Amino acid sequence: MSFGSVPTGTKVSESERDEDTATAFDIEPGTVEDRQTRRWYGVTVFALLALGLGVLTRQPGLLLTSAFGIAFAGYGQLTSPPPIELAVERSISDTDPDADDTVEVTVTVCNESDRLLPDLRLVDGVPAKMTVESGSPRHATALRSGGETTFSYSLRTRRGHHEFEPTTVLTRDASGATERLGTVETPDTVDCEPSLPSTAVDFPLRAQTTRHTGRFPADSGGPGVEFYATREYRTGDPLSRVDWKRTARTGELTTVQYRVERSVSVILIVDARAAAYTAPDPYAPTAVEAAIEAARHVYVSLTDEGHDVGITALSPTECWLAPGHGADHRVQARELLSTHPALSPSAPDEDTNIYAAVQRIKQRASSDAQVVLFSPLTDDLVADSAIRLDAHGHRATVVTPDSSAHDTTGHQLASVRRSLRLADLRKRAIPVVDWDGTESFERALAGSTGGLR
Amino acid sequence: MSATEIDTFDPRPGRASVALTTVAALVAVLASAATLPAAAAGLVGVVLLPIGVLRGSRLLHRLGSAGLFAAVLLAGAAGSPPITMLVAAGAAVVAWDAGEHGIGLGRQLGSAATMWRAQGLHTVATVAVGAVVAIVGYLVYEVASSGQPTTAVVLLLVAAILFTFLLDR
Repeated sequence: MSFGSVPTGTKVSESERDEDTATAFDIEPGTVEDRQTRRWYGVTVFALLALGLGVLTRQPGLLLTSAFGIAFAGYGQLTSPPPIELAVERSISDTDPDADDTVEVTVTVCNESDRLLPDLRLVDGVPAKMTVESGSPRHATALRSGGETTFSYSLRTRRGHHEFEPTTVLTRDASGATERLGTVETPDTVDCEPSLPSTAVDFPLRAQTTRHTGRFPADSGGPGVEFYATREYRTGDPLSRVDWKRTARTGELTTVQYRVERSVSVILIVDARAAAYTAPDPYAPTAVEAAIEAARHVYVSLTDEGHDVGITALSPTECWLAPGHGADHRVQARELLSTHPALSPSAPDEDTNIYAAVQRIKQRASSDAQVVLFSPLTDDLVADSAIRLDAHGHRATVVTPDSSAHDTTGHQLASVRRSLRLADLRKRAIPVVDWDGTESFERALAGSTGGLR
Repeated sequence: MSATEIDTFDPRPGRASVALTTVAALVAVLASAATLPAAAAGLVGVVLLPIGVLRGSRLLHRLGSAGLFAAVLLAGAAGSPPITMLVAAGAAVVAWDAGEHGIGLGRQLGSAATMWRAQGLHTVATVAVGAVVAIVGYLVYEVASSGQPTTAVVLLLVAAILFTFLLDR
């Protein structure tokens, strides 16, 4: 990670930026680099010019000025870079914050060497996926031996497990002619585990089927609440279910049947392949974040209804939470959706074998488990997986956060291709919830339930 | 570097750097404005230098410094007295140094960071070194010109030895 290079977008020309490579804050953690800044060379040139001109014009003032300039050049040579012996301590206001919260970070730096640090520059290692909200994680000061300095800044939290990177330190001597670049490691972590939404949304599941075609257990009579049908009394039927009024009227024993309410096993599949980490602009939350947000809502809604919900990811890293419900399961789900490495806030480096991943889901899930796929549908592979799972009896629903940008022709094309995938899925009777991120998930659901049921 | 920081990263130096540069540049111009060409070059310097530092532009800073140094050289060639020359050259060096240091700080840390202490101490050190060098230099000059060549020769030898020592490092 480069700290010192001037970020693009600022008004600095290319040629000027190149000059700064000599003073860039770019170093491997744990190493130290000494550099000459050569900043006094210009003054040496001035001194030599004054000397020449002084000899030519025989002006004592110029000769004196020349001596003056050379003395400064010597000043730059005399000093050596101060050592980096620093103790860096971070105090974080909340190491276990909620998402989109503000965390105050106060950094205290103590000079543990016995020398004065006339020019100390620090860049704190802000976790890669966090954003600085106010203040600056950069600081420059002079620090006497044993002295302390403090600076603070605030971070906007994002979901996930975040580790602070080493603090980059640059010390210069008083003349600025030599500098030493190093790092100070202070491991600190912030675990941002957003709580699950408290209100359930009305997430429609597909009508349940088993492998035996044509039978709908959810559409059958038995114990339940809602009246379904009556039938002739059979031995063994509980007496409480006998329709006594009818018996009194007709003299025949009749049993009332209620609609069976079966709990369904549902697997939530979050698409966390590198291809899914798309966002309309480089700093916006990725589609994976939106997918996880949607998964959080769906998990709460379905478990509230008594279904067994499992969670898995299409990712190079293994991720599986077996279907279940209850308080324990809820804690596990919250943790998994927050900090599981498979659902990391940054895209994985490796490719995902999506066929193997789908195969694993088929093996692990019970044969009649439904699947809900959360994916931005950025390629055909993932749409095909939904179709294949659906064809294998895992009735699929697709929730797709829209992360497409429309600024360039390429982006527009990608967006059109995504719409075609959506249309294809809908044509195959797989319900699709298209969530563009500007409205609440609940509204997106309400908007598409017409097509879902 | 995190997302919002990139959006808002402002590579301009802090106010302290701009103020120090401006004051030093003004002193340099006042001390070197002996002739019209020197005053003109100094004017270019005193205008461009603070603007360069304010905007964090190395090019403008360099042009401005060149103007100040040119003014000092022109004033010297026109026969400015040694004491004003020392003041002018010292102020020009301080102005250049404060500006360069400030621009470097700005580019590395951004204007949102606190850096006045580092800038202040650096400039104080430069001014102190400049003052010592100027006083020693002026004393040597006085001794040499008041007709005591032996002392001058000794001092010259000391200077030569120091210079060789520095070159050797």
